[in-house]
Amino acid sequence: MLAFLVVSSLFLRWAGVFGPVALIPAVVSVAVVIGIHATQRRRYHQQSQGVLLSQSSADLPAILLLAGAVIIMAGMEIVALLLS
Amino acid sequence: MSDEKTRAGGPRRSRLAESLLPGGEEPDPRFSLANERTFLAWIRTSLAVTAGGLGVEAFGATIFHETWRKILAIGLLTMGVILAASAVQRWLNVERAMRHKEPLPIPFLLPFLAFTAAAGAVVMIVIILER
Repeated sequence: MLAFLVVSSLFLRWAGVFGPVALIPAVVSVAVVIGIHATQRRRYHQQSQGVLLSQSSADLPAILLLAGAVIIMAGMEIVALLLS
Repeated sequence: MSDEKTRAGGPRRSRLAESLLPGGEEPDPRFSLANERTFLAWIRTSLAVTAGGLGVEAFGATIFHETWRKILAIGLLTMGVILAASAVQRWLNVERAMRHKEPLPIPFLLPFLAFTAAAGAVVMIVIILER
């Protein structure tokens, strides 16, 4: 969570070039981090129950969301770098 | 025995899970969690590489020529994207293999990361020697 937040905050470096648009990725990343933090307790409970009962399925949406957020963020940074 | 039955029955699966992880039966949750931890480790690596790319762009003005700086930064950011995408692919492949009780796939990410890290180090040595 912290690593994701720090990397997305580096995007503010382009605030001088793109103006307030540069804030969007950081704000979106904060929303993703809040989402991760908010669901942490539920997921931990679900997984510990899964281990206890030997009955659990893979958390596919969480995996796809996290990877998607990282890919989109890095992609936007490439675009910003090419346009700046 | 009851464990196997519970696992085979398993919890209800979403349509997304059915399409991306079809067939087989739920693996031992400890193995799924280990797979998820490995995925998270690769995502952290991807974030570190991405941060490195931004760092080169933001703070490398005194070290690199502008063109080199941009190439290096874009290269590192692209590598971050590839690492994150490959981490998902690897997670899916391992999860599928475990569901079908097949051998785990050979990781493509390790040689890729090792090769690009070595290539990056060589480029850095050349740049430093040329200064």
